[in-house]
Amino acid sequence: MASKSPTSHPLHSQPSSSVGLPLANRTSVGLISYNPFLTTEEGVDFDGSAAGQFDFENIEKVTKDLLHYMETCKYPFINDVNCYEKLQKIGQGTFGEVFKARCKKTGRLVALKKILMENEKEGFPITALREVKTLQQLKHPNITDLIEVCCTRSARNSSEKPTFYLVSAFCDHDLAGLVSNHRVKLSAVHVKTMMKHLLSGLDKLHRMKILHRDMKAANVLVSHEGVLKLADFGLARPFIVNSGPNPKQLYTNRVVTLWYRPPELLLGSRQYDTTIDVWGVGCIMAELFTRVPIMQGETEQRQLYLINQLCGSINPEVWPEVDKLPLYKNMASSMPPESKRILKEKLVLYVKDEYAMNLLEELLTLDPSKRPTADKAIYHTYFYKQPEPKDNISDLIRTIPNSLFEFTTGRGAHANRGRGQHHQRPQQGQRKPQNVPAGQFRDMIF
Amino acid sequence: MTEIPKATFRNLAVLLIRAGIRLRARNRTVCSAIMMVNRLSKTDLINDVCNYTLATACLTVAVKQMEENHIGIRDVINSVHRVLHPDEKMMEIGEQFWGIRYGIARMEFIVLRFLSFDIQFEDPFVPLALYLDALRSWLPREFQEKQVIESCNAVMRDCFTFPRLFEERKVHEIAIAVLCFVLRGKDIELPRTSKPWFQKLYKSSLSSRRVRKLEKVIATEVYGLQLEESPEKIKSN
Repeated sequence: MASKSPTSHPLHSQPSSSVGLPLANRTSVGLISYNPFLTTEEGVDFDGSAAGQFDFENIEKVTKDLLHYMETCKYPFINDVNCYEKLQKIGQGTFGEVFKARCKKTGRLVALKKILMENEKEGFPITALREVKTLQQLKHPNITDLIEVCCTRSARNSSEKPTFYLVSAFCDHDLAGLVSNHRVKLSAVHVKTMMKHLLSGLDKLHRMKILHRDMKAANVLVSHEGVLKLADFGLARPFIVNSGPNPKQLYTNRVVTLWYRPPELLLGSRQYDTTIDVWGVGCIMAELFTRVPIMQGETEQRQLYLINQLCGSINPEVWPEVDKLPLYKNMASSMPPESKRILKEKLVLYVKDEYAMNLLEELLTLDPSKRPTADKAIYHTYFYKQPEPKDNISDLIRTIPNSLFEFTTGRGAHANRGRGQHHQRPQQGQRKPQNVPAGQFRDMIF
Repeated sequence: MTEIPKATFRNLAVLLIRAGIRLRARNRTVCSAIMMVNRLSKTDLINDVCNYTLATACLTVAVKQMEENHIGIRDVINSVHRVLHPDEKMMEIGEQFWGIRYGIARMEFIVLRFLSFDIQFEDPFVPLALYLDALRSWLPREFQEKQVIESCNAVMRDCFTFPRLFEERKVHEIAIAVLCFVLRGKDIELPRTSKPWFQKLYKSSLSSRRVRKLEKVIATEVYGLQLEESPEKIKSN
């Protein structure tokens, strides 16, 4: 419905006595006097006669028209998902499905990630909007690129709602699938190159003021060219640098898959920063050497206990601010008071390179304020010692005949991976759409 | 492809600005919503659906886009309702409210699809803030007393009622013109320098004449003023 056009221009029919731009009252500069408008603080002086033209009553009727319109709309500006031919499901979970697909026009392989629309009462899910926005902003070789957003054409006369898909370039493997397959031999150069890619991607993300909040091996993809790409921005969110009088922003602490969750989140911190992702990188790095996730807690308490065991007791001596965290007292039973930091002793069998060990120690620092940022970690001596990192790990990827995804292959080595260790959902009323092409296995937990 | 009459688009922009003030939304949220409406106004959509619902849905999308998490759909509906119907009571929760709310929630999907999810917004308030910050240190007292910063932001926001400005000019140039416009209106003269400040801060190829032209566009197109004299003469006065 096209709206009626007001006969009198509402902008020009305002009483000039209202509070507005101070500049408006000045006439001495040669401009003829004009009324202040638009910007009145209260906005109550909207001219009655003009406002009467705004036929709000009709909106209810319009809503029905709108529904009809939605059902028949052809959406000329967005591609149909039928442009892609679905080949194989590569990820499945509570939060949606990921498919490998081929573009019918160009033959290009893509990953289709379905956006679930459960809570449509709230309109388009903010998490999905964040994901789209994030991916549009981030153009970096080590971050998955979003090709487009497409949707199913809603069939005529059906009440079925259209579904949206995020389309991104297809990557052959994910890190979890790669690492858990013991036929894949990782050399020191491979590990170093992968760590460099990972930290570059994360650094870019943090520079754009975005937190990933779901760092884990299954969310790191490896392309055909042997380049690592960060994926799954379903939990990502922009962060605000707290400064000056701004009230501190509180985030939900129910993020990050349990095995990769840093201690400050387990202790209920809601004012975390980029270093939560750095902890995840530390876990992934250790995993590259050990080939299994290093801390596999079943519950939050157990996870905290495992962290205490490996990285030493959490107490105000090693982490001065820790006693201010909300759950510090409640979780005391999960934190053995006298355990030593045995990270080095435990991993020395796997990690032969002392610089690698040193970086690992830094990444897995308990106190988040002492943990290095991605930007700092990238300049660690490790990356400048022999053997030097290469541009990519294509020599390794060429030797792997099949795609290795956690979802499709990980069931052998880590059959239980993802089961019972899943993080709780952020309280936003929407469920998270599934990861782009990383096929991590997510079990039903509800 | 038909453009909606100018007055109608302006109504929508004014509606969004007023609703935004009531919501205490940030300027860039409101202006991003206006630019969405502007882009949609060049499609058929604007002729097919209620423009006010459309504008409201753009605002709710912008609220999500800019992470104004304290503003909910209901707040948006209430404030839009208040602006449209200043004399009526606040909207009761009832069939009509739910109808509107449902319509707006669904409309978000349409908006996003028509925009192909391209809702990035080039924020002119950022360069404006940079220039304001640079100039403030020259005349801190005048800036404070005459509320230069507040006025600049308000004028910049008003400029979105004439979105062609943003399609044709760079945000930096608009920010400079807005600042000059406000300084002129408030009779504030900056200390004389060998070159105009914007040539130092932005780029030397931007001529004073071009800035004055832009100021004129703001005066005539945004504020509907008839200029009595040419800007050159005003300056010499």
